[in-house]
Amino acid sequence: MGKTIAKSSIFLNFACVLISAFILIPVVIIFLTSLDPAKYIRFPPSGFSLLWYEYFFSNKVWQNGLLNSVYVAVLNTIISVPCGILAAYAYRKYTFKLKNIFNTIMIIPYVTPSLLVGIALLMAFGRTILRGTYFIVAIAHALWSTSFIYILMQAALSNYDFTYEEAAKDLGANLFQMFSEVTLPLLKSAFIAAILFAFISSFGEVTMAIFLVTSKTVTLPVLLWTSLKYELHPVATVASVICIIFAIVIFMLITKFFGTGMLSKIGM
Amino acid sequence: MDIAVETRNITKRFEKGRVVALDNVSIYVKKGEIFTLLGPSGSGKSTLLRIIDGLEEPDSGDVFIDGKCVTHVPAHKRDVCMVFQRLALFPHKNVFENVAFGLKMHKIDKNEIKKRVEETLWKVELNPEIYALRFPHQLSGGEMQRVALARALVLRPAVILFDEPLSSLDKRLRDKMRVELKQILKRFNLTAIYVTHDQEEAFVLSDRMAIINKGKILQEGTPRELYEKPQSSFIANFLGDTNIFKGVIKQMKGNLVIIELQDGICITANYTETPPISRDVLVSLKAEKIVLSDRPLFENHLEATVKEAIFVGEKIIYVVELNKELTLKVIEKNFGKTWRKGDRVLVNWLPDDIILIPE
Amino acid sequence: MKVNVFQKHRYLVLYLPALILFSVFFLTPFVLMIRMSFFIGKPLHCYIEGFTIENYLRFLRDFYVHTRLMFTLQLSAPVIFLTLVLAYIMAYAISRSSGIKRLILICVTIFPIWINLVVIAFSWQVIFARYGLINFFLTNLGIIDEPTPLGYNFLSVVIGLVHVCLPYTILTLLSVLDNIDPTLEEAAKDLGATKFKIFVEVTLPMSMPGIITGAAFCFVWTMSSFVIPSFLGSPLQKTIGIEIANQVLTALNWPYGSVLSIVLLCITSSTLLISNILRERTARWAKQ
Repeated sequence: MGKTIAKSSIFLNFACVLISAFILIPVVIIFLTSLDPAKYIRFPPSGFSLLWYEYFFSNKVWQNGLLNSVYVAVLNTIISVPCGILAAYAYRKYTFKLKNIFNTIMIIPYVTPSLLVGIALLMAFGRTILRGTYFIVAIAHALWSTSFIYILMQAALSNYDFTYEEAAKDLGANLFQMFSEVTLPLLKSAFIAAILFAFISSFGEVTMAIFLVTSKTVTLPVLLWTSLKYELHPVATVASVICIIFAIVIFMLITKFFGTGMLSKIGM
Repeated sequence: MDIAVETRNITKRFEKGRVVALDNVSIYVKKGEIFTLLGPSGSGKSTLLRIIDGLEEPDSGDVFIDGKCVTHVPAHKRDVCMVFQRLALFPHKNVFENVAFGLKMHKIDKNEIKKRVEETLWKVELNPEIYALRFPHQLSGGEMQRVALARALVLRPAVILFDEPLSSLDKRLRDKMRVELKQILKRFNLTAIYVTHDQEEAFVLSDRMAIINKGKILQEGTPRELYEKPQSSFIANFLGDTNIFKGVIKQMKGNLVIIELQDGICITANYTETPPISRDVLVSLKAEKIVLSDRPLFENHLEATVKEAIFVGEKIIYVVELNKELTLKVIEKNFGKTWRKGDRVLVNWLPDDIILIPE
Repeated sequence: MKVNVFQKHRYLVLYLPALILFSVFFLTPFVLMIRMSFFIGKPLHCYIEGFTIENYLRFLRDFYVHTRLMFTLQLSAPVIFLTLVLAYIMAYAISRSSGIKRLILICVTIFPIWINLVVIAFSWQVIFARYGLINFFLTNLGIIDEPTPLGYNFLSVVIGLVHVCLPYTILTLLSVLDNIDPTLEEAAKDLGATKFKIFVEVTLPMSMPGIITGAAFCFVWTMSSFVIPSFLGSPLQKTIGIEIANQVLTALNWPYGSVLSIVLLCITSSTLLISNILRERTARWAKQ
């Protein structure tokens, strides 16, 4: 009996390692090839150099792409974080008749394919003044982020005791004092996590951005997309590594502030 | 008579009017009085408290504090403070900051805050030098209670509201804290409304109390009045261990009524106030007012058999059977002669202890 | 009056920013898309205003689009199957572990979510390339003599899509597995069930809601996939998503692109709706 348990958990552990490898290997490979000075991408790398990193950071086009990505991500954060947090707060605090309908409306953008959202936005605003602006790209991302933050904050707020706010009101705090003295400090880490989530999900978004950017507002992932369409240039590996590094840094910050318990709520 | 708080005809419905939480509730609380709202869970007692505090608005009716109508005044502008069920001490603030919170919100001068917070901590018997910098998670259950009380006291409100704050403590500490709480409230002559579902708590604390059930105030008065003269079977049942029977009035002479319970089992009762209107009545007899004996002690006695004898330490609970359908619960002190299952006994009581309840 | 509504329903104020965002930039574009689908489509002209149902008729006769739709449906089957198997193993392992091991496994799972699709596709390209990782091992181990390009086929598209779907599916399954009361399994064990039996009789049925949601999710992702197959597939592996993007970006026939988008939207939303109903049903059953 004991033996079968040991055997099956060995199998489980082994399978786990293989699946983790499957998830992580592409990232490792990209990182290794980005340090290869050769002009053609190949494995194993022929040497070690930061040649392509220098190339990346001295090239105006790539620099712009990186900056544009940051602009869009910041703008998206400014739009989606308040929208998502306020709605999730309302969901947890109040009971009302249309609650289920509101909840469904809030989740729809999360489950609608980005491809279709991108196309719909292109058709609706492609011939208006908003065409190709940072704003429209950020808005496209904000649709998804708002939904996502809404779901995440719902989970975070389920542990939040609204009596603290009532106590504050009872002791004479007005709405603003209540928020700054009680709500904000108690939910600080959840808010920070929401900001980080919004930033990184927008920073790496590509499907919608492909339809909405112009050469002026092109983001890093889209730049990567267009450059790879023509050739497998090694600088693409550097751009990829930059994207990965952003993801890792933000990911570590999120785990620090938010813990992985809440992270696993991302599933549906 | 100075009235601190009054509610007039408060009605509140939830879930689009389907559930009536409060139905035309009017109460008043005098200055310096501890008033208790006693009721089972879901009776609407906490809702009434929250309406007085301003956390909820009534559908109709008015709230008066110090004679002023405050029905539509938001919570943060009312001169009342609440001690919450789960205390709601701010976990990110230390004891000093928790107690100072209300004063800070009212933009009171820093030195004045410090003075008043320390003064209040002394009042609740917490030494500020030891406790001021501690955080709520570093306090014991009893200390947290005191901080919560201090946080309300420091604002010197017209009335302090308590929403079952002691319910999370274990029994021993709860017993100790309720006596202390009463001492503090009385020492500083404070007005308080206390909500609880615990009968003993209500009896220990109250000057006056009201019993509330299904959104309605059933009766109000001193604890003694309610216990000795319940006006409905709900109250008779709710307070203490009570035997309740249906009976029919057979005869009335002077102050005495003879009531037939069942096939010839008759009892005699006194009535002092208005005589019963109908012939059908409910008869209530508290379990501790019955004495078991082997020979008659009082005029009122019946024969019975002990069905069960349950030993609970300082007292013994007996279930005795008068006949197949009539059983009585009897509580006796664990003193003197005790009985065993199967013993034949006499059940004795005084006519004064039989209470007639209009059915 | 207006003030009154908001005072009475405070939640409305809080929902308002999100609702405005969604109605202006989500609902409106999709309504306009329906309008667009009735405009006159002329390649390279985006659209000409008017009213015609020709675009819908074209969709009904367009044999090439039908083959792409069929291909995408075929593609979804192995993606769903592989993702579910891998995700279930991983989620099961996570739910059965604690402490640092759980932390590491969750981190590994979640981390790829924020790496963009192009990078993932690109890195698989590098792995499959003629001088890539796999060929390197195969030639060095002497299994093959000459390195051959392995990418740009059905398998590489499937692998790319599985990689993208995996994190979300693992998390979905994990939330279900974590909620299974461990005493149920203990009770089954106590009643004499073997480990395998416990899994089949207790754990698997209880995790059905997660499996249904995960499968629906993988299906929607594959049906609307565009970046991954256009990097990892050959023209033979063109999905309906690529064809839609092609109509909108290259052929510049927006009305026809709208028709195809609407068809795809109907497929994905009905899938999610059905999966939701199924999940509710199994969840109710699983609770009993």
